[in-house]
Amino acid sequence: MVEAWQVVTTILFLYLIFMIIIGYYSTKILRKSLEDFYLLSRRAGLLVLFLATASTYHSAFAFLTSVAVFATAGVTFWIGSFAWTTLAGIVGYLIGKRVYILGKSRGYISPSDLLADRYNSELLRVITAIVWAIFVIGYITVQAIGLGIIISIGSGGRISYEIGSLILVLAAALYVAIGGLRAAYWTDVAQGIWMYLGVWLAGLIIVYKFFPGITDLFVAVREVNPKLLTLNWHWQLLVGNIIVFGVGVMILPHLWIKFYAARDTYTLKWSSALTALYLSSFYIPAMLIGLTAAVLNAKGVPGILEPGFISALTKAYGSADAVMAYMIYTLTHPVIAGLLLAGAAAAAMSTLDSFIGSISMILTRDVYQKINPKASESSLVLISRILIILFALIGWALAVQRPGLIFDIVAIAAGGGLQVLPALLQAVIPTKRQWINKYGAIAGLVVGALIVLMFTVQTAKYFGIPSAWARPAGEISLYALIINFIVAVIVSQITKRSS
Amino acid sequence: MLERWCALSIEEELKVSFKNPLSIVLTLIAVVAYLLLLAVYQFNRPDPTILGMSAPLVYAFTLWIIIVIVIIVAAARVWG
Repeated sequence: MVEAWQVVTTILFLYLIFMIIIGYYSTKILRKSLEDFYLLSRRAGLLVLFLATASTYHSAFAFLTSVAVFATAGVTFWIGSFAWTTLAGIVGYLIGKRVYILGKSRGYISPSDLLADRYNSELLRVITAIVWAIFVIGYITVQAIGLGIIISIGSGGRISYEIGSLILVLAAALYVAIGGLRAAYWTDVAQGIWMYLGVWLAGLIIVYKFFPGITDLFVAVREVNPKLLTLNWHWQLLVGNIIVFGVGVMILPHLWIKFYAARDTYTLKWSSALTALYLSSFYIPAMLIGLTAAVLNAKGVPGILEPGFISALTKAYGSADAVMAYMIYTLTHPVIAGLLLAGAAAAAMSTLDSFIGSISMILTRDVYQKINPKASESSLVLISRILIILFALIGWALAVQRPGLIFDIVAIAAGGGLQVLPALLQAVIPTKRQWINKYGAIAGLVVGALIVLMFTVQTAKYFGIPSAWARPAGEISLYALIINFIVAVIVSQITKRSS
Repeated sequence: MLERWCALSIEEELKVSFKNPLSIVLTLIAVVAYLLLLAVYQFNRPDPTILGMSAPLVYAFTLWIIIVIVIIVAAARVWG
């Protein structure tokens, strides 16, 4: 008799092999140049660009933590997420188009290339690379957390969180190291389709298993905890989260380089519009699953789910992020569970691959190539591959510490990345007066990034900041951005204008 | 000379333009829709409305539909 965990684990491993084969196949047409390794030779068409952007944006954050937040904070997450996901599409066009035009005409490969060139500052290049490297590690870590949860639950606890996370993280690192971001673009297409179908299928199966219709779900939620049907974030946190996830995530390196990769502006504009639709509609089934989880958490399901199972999962995994994976595993047929958990793994891996690929590019281009300007293209590709494996392992090492809720960690990472915005806006939108020069851009970025790092609830204790001064990452990132803008403009006005 | 001409041409492409009246209308609708989100605190109650959903949720769905329509129209008619 084949047990459920064997079916689910087999499907998960078949999925992994499928992704590695796609990654390997993409190397067959890989040219040994950085432009091809990272930017698909700037020829990404609509389907590839749209699905790569959408699946890269949606990570373990979307598939795992969104359900956890829906289950504990209710519709609050939808009220915020519809706004930040549609805003992400708009930002993808309004900023992405300008990044694309500059990237194509000036031959930029790394995001720092644009800032360093427009501000004529190699120091700005290095500082942005360092800021990104610091914050992106958080993003890599959350994907490793998600993958550990998925395989641990999918195997019925027979493969530990630590080993499971290591296996999946190394699989992603392997296909990116072999095929570069070209492999990631290809796998992202498959993963983007898989995760979208997966979340809708999971939503419909789980909701209709317990409720005759959507109205009954809302009636049950109202009985259990009516607060789940209201907005529970204060307005500063709501606005902060919308800016952080709508703008901050889109200008992180893993999505920034997607703008460079576009074939033309037509591709970019429709990719942006479709991305907004994809990202926002993804959260509708996630909300249904999350609210169902809240009801089942209160009432339990005899013989399947104990009342208070969310607290038990939080105790076991250090956060409520395992709710979605656990519900899929316990409430659906093993074959369906395997396919849906593979969809969840797709969400995490499609972001992980882009992050380790883009951060390796930034450090190769913006640090190693500056130290060794005569390095050949093949040696740069080799260094990139080593960095890909290294960053994957760093992310895994942090994930095994179980640092907390994915939502909070992503908010810190995106909030840090958001601090590049003032410098980026001045670089891509010509103004009659130059409001920000290289000195202002550097000062604003450093101040903004330090505020996010030091005054966020989860990190303040490491810097001796009193807890009364600390704020959630979404809120503090908004304040940091405002201070960043002010510092950037003031410093620019009292220093020489950069050329 | 050629480099300077190319540079000017790029700067022209980077400028924010509202030459198309539709772009002004769509921008205004989008900005107002996002700002109106903050009005949700005025009726932030769990009482049932359409399909048993609460008023904040129905309101958020309405704003979502408006913004999605704006994005699609912008992509089709305004964005270059």
